[in-house]
Amino acid sequence: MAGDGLLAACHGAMSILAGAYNVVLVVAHCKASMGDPHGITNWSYDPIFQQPLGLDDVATSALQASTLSLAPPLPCSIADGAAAIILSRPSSVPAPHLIGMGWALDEHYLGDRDLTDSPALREAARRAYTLADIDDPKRDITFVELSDQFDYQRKLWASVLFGKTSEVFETSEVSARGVPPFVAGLDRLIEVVLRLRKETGTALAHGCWGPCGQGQVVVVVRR
Amino acid sequence: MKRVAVIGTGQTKHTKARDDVTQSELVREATTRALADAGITIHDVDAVVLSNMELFEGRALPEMWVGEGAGGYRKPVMKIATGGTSGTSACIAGYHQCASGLFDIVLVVGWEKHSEGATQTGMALTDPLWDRNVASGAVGNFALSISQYVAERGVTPQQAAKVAVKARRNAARNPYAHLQMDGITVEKVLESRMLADPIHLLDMCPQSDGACAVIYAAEDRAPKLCPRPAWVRAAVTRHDQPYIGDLDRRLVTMRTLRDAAREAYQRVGITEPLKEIDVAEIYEPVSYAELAWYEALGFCAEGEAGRLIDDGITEMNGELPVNPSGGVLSTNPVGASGVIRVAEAVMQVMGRAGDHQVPDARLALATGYGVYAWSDVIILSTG
Amino acid sequence: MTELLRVSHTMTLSWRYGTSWYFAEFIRALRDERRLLGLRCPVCRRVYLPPRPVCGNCYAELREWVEVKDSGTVRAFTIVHTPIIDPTSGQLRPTPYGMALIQLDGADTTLNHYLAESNPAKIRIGMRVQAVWREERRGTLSDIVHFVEMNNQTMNDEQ
Repeated sequence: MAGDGLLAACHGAMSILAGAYNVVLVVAHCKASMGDPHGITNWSYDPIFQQPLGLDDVATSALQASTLSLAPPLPCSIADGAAAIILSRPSSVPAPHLIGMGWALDEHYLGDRDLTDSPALREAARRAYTLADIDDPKRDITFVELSDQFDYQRKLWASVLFGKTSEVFETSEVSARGVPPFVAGLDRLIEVVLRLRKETGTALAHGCWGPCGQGQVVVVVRR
Repeated sequence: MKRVAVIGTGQTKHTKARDDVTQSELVREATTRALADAGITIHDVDAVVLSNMELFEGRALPEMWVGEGAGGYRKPVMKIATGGTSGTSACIAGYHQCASGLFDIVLVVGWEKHSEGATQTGMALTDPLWDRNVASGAVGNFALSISQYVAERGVTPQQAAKVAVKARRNAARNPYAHLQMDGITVEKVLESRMLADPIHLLDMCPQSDGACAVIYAAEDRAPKLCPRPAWVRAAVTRHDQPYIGDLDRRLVTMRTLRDAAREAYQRVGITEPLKEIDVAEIYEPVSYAELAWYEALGFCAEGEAGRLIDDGITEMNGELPVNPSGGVLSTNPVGASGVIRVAEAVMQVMGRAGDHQVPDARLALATGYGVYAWSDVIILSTG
Repeated sequence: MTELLRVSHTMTLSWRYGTSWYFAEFIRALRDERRLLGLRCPVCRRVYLPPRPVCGNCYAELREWVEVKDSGTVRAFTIVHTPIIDPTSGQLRPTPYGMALIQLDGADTTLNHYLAESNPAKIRIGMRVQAVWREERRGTLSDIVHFVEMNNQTMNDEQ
């Protein structure tokens, strides 16, 4: 399936919940070094109005940064990488449990959106919290791993999720920078799982893809 | 996990070129018709699954632009691209989304607008290290497999042509089908231009512009919304190795379809498919493939497929009508083709197939085929 | 009604695919030594040509190189009449041309490659064929130009 690897994890989880499979391997990979990210991200903009402008993800991130009164971000370095996780039915093995998930798509035309906000992320998180039975995320979520396509976005996602003056408990000295797009969300989930193996808690993993994070996915994990 | 039924379907009139709509609008046409068929509005839809092979149109992340056409505004939207099986993969994903208990109503839409691109981009599906410098497209690959199938099972070009004739004549009674050729004959098929020996032009599927949508509802909603829902009884997927040269006699053995069908039949309790299945919509990219699929699906023993088509067993008035819609041979917007198989199977068991309705159809089979050897098998029934 | 319009795009994009140790070794042997190498699965003992790192059936790593002959047997064939762009040159291939799946002697899988023959009446499954090599090898699978039917003349040349 297409989109961020974390969305693939949701896809795998639903097939287990549907009773179709017992054990699912989810793999995400990206080998952007092989091609032309400008060309390919340009292909993701509608061919009638936006693509002919020569827009790519670097240009639109600069547009979004300007709405936040920030300077244009540095293009993220092209990275190659892959991530894999194995999901199974809940069992007596004390592994972290996936207790909530949600995803949503924002509008496509940049001019239709308020780029200082992310209603899709809010909606994705709401759905995940509902499934996880969480009604006070600031209280109940122990830590968070956010993805980004460009550096400024993590603050934007954090403010959408937890409010403008929130503290965000990220483990990221290792930030999402350097992890390839489409892998980043699954990589965040792996970071969450690795930490939950050492300490109990409830964590949120996040992924995003598409123009200025038009697609958003959130997963809640608990041990 | 919940039982799930399809409560509505919709499709566009499939044609060579829809110059009057964008891809998003094409999707909206199919979506609107499916919503009307299901008797619900877009606001009742909880989640959306899209199917499309965007490389054909030179797009990336097509759900970003086209998601709106399926009402994906601020909704959970997921997009799937698995070659020819995209449509059936999406239908199975939509079924899982509903069966998981997460969503009550799920919309699945597949589309393709071949007229807007170049199908040679399909070369990208071929392994870049070993296969690409010789690869001759889908038709070249099919032709290789068919040469083995013909050598082992002895089907003739005439028997293959009969499959092509059946498809286009059936399509003449399907208002949505692309190629409708009531006057087609075996001779015309065999006289048509040779594409790759032994495949003639009329043995091969077209490229179409079109979209198709199905709507799933979970068991507590379905009976209230639909008088005769089409219940999903089985949905099985099997994939296989990617190199064209790896699979021994691929069309001959077709192990993915064989395995998937066996599993699906077991889940439903089918032991004699020819007798127990009322109608089949199978994904046949080329006439010879349908003959091979008869064997892989257990409609007949190995080597008997030619006899099945000769005896008219799979014609509209035969014991097991195959592809009353005209199949992929008549209509092929790749991203939609798998969804069309499911939609047509649903229309049959709902009694909504109009002029190409198989009387008293209660149990229907739909299959997907893609890349070199991927297969999906879906079984639907009333009650 | 207002006339409908179309928006056109033209783009040139190229890709460079990274390859791995087995590709490098295969090409080295092909280019420098005119040898074809396959990889054998330690579990099922199948010899894979083209080589790849893992056996699809067993999921076992392949490490054992096996020399494979440049002669083999046709397992499937066709004559292609539809012009297709060759991705290595960007040009349409002249048609018709013969193409086959060839099981090289020593390999268990088949190689997709050209046949010199384009008359279907002269090709059959089970036919024995021999690679025709380019005089100067460059390190690609097209260093084998195509395969021709083996006959006594060819076999004598080999000796």
